[in-house]
Amino acid sequence: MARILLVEDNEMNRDMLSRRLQKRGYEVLLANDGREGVDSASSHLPDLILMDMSLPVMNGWDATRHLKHSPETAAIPVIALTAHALSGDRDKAFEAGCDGYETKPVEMNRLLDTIARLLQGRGTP
Amino acid sequence: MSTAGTALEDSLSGLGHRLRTPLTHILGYSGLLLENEDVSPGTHPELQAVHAQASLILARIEHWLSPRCAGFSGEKVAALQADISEPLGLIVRIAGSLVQRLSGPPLLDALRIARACGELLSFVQQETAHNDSAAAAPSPLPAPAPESHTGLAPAGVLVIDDNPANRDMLVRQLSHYGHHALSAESGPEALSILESRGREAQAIELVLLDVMMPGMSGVDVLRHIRSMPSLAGIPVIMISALDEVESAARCIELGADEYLVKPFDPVLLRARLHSALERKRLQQQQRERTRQLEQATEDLKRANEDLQAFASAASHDLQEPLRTVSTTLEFFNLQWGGELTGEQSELFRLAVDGARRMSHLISDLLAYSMAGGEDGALEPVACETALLEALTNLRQAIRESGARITHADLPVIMAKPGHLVQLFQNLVGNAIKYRGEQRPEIRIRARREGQDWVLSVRDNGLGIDEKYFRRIFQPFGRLHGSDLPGSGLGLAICERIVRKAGGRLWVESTPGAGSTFCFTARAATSHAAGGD
Repeated sequence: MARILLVEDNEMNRDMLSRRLQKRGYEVLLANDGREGVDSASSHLPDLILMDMSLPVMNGWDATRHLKHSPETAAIPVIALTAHALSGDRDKAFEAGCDGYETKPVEMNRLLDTIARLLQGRGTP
Repeated sequence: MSTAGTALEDSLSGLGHRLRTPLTHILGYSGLLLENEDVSPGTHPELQAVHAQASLILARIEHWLSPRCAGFSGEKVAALQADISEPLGLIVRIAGSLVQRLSGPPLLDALRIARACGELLSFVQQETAHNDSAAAAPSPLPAPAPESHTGLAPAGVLVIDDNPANRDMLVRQLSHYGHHALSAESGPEALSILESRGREAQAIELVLLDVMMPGMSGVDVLRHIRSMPSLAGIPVIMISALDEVESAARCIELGADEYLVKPFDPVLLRARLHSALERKRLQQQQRERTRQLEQATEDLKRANEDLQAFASAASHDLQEPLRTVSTTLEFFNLQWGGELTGEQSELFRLAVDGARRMSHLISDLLAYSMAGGEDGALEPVACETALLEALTNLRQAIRESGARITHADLPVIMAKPGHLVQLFQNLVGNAIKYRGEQRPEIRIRARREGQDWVLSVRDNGLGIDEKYFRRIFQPFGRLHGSDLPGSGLGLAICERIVRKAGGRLWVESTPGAGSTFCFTARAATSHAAGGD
């Protein structure tokens, strides 16, 4: 089953989302900020990354840019999670290299669909 | 209320972010509970209702806080509050009932929903307070627990905020909790209050400081407060309209104790306030205790030094008249010794013997007080050298008793050279003194134990009953009468010497089968002497 790295600084969000993903059989790795996220992605090479955008230390946009510029992590799909429902955020996320975009609070079924679609593109269930 | 309105406008986008976070939690955790097999399906309709009402609140937030929604910020916020209070009330009721019915991990999730409700509820209540004029009825505050329950005494708190409505609300809230609240509308005013109040009995014990103020900013005020020695340790809680991680981090770096984001939950404010005050009081208590402890240690040290000085001075001063007695007796003996009758000669011998014992006692007292003297540095000392010196001092007793003394290879240990000689002299001297019927056989050995050496002096003498093992090391803890002379300080001196060098002294013995006195000593680091 696929491994998903969840980069999220809010403890409750992290707890909630990781539990819901684990329920669907995904293995979930956790990171608390952008820097940790980049480090974890480089060392564990997950199949997909869920990235909150407003993160401490290094924000989600910078972290995504970082991952997409590094050859070993560039191919890992990144789904941006943002609390801002503004369309500018969406463009900004795709500009940074994100492959998907979800606003918080996350609509679980839609997120699961996006995850499945992106994983299928990589050949991982 | 124009100032409050501007502040609201500034924080409108931030407000949306803050409201979405608890909503995310309500939606997420109700979803998790719906998926949880341990939760009875009977609760599903309620959980679905929570989910639906939270989605409704979300839609209303998106509507009222959208930049496309026309109108004055204050009005939009008021409309939003009115709009969400009903669905929120429904969620609160369901969450409350779930908390009572669930248990185990699902209960934790229900509590998380309840907590998120609390955050939204405080928005509804607090922003209403913003919109009230200062003269209006008190804002809806949660009923405070009586102060006696928290165990916290009322504190002097200074509120620094340029916004009159915020200032008023905070002062009212603090007074509500039983604190003495003062307020200042600018940095300079606050600093002058702090400077003058610092010297008064009713001092300021905590500062609530707004980050964004015209002129002197909250950050500047904080920096100033932290540079004033008279205000050292005063807790400062920063309040900000912006949920900015960088600003918060900066304030904490500059020495702020807490950082609260407006509009804050009154319960959270109260908790932060009290934790900061309690921390400060604990620190003060800690400082006071440390001071007392240092004082006590200092007193004890001085008393010990005085005692030491007294003992050594007394020993010296006692020796002096005694020497006069001994010299006079000696002179008397030379002059008239030959003319004494048998009885007179016996009485004279008692006087000489008494003076000699007195002299021994005094020199032992002196040695005992010196052994407890200041902790001079230990140095590597070869045990063999110290032992030979001790045996030289004991040569008369050795010759008279015919004792046979042997020793194995002895190590170099950390000690004071003079002390080590005294130690061997007392232990070997005792072994000879308390001998049995047969000729004394005394053996000195050493064995390595980790960083330490264990040295032992074994004899074939009288031996000691186990019940006296403690008493013999106490000053004047003698087991024998005048049949075997002694000051009763020999082993007490040994014990002190060993303890001062960081070691232990003990005895292993069986009455009639001899004794072995053992002591530990630190091995000398630069030497590696062989053991037995």
